[in-house]
Amino acid sequence: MVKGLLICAALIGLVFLACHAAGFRESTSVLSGTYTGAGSVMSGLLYAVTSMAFEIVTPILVIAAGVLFVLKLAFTALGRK
Amino acid sequence: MKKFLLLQKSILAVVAFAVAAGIWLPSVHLLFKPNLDRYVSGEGISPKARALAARHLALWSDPELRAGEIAKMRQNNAEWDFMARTFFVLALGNMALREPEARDQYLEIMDAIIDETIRLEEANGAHYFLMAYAKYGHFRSSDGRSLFVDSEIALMLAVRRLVEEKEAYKPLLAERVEAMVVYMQESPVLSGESYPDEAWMFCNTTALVAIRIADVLDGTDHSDFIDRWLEVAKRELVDPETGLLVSSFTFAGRPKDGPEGSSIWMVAHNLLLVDRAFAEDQYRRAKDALSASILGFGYAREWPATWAGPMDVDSGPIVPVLEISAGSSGMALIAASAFGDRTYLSSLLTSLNFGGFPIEKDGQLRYAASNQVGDAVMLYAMVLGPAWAEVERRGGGSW
Repeated sequence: MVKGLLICAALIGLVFLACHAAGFRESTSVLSGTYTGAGSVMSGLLYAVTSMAFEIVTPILVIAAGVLFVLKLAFTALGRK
Repeated sequence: MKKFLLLQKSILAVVAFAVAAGIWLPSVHLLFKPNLDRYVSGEGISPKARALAARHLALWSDPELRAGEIAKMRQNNAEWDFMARTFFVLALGNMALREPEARDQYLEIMDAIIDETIRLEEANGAHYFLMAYAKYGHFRSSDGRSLFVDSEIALMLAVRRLVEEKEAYKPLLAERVEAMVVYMQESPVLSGESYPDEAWMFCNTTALVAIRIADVLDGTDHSDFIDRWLEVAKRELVDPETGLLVSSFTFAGRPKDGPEGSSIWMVAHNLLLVDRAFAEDQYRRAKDALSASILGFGYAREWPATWAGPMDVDSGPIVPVLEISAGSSGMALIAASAFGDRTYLSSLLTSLNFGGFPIEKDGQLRYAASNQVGDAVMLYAMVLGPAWAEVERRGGGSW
């Protein structure tokens, strides 16, 4: 599970970085109703969603992985006792 | 045993997620929280304002770049083209007062914007800066002028002359002020229409500010008209639920839309030069009814909880449930700055840094999620103050 959470976090990060590298940040002007060209609605919304996922969900996944790892260690230690 | 292990794993996962969310969610705003001194400054021009202004100055210095930006805005709303000009001129006026050594540069751009705006109005009529529905009705006032266009051009002229007198603009301001006063008085609520049979509080208070500044500059006296306007507005144009001025109403004074965030924040800021006590009252009420914050991110609603209004070009997109309005939140920056509400301003800027997707390059700043009018509003929020203070100084105190 810990590994799965970290893979998820990495995937979100990769998708966001790909959107950023593709220049989709420019297209977020759709949020103010200003269209920059064909496909700008999709690329703008995709950037907004992945950016917020990267800033909100990714850290939660990473922290949860850490907490889970510590809890598992604690339970394993308790089990041995 | 297997079931027990599965249950144990699920409980651990829930606990881990709860702890992670409990740690991260209340903290995430700290990543975007601004150092307020980099955005607003008591004296001089803050670094962020300077970078934001640099982008606009570049646009107004490069006709090709400007044409592209204006075309993008006009495709959706011709008003945005016009209002971007107004807010940028207001910002430049304040910047010229903050930075006298750069005054000539700012005045040159202000004049270029004003001259081009008036030229476009003369060549194409006021409809050039209005939304298409302005053509499908008849203004009730006798000369059929739009206060939206008149008030903002008058304010641009007034602020320009406030920074430094320009003889050529004297008659242009005087004529527009007199025209506005005449047709505003034709309405039972002393208010001009922006669109056929549709008056806006935003435009009417902008007109009052232009009239007030013209009085200070030219020694005219419209205080009786302004006092009568205030008396009527307080009596006829206040929403009983919130005590806030309504945003739009008919020529006869029948309210159309209730209090609206994209309007009331600017109205409160305008009222500072009309009736300071009333302005402070409206700001306090607007904050009670429209401002909110979630996990350190400040925002503003377009409509108070007591009024069900639509999402439109003024409100911008509205996030459901939380009712976050981009338009209202942007305009709230102006009011928060004007009323020295640094806590709210800081929380609004936190949201702007998060959801506005700022792009800083070559000393220029812009917000990708915004557009030219949005950025001009933000710039104005960062530099406002000196122009209103100058009017009060020359007028001999506040009203």
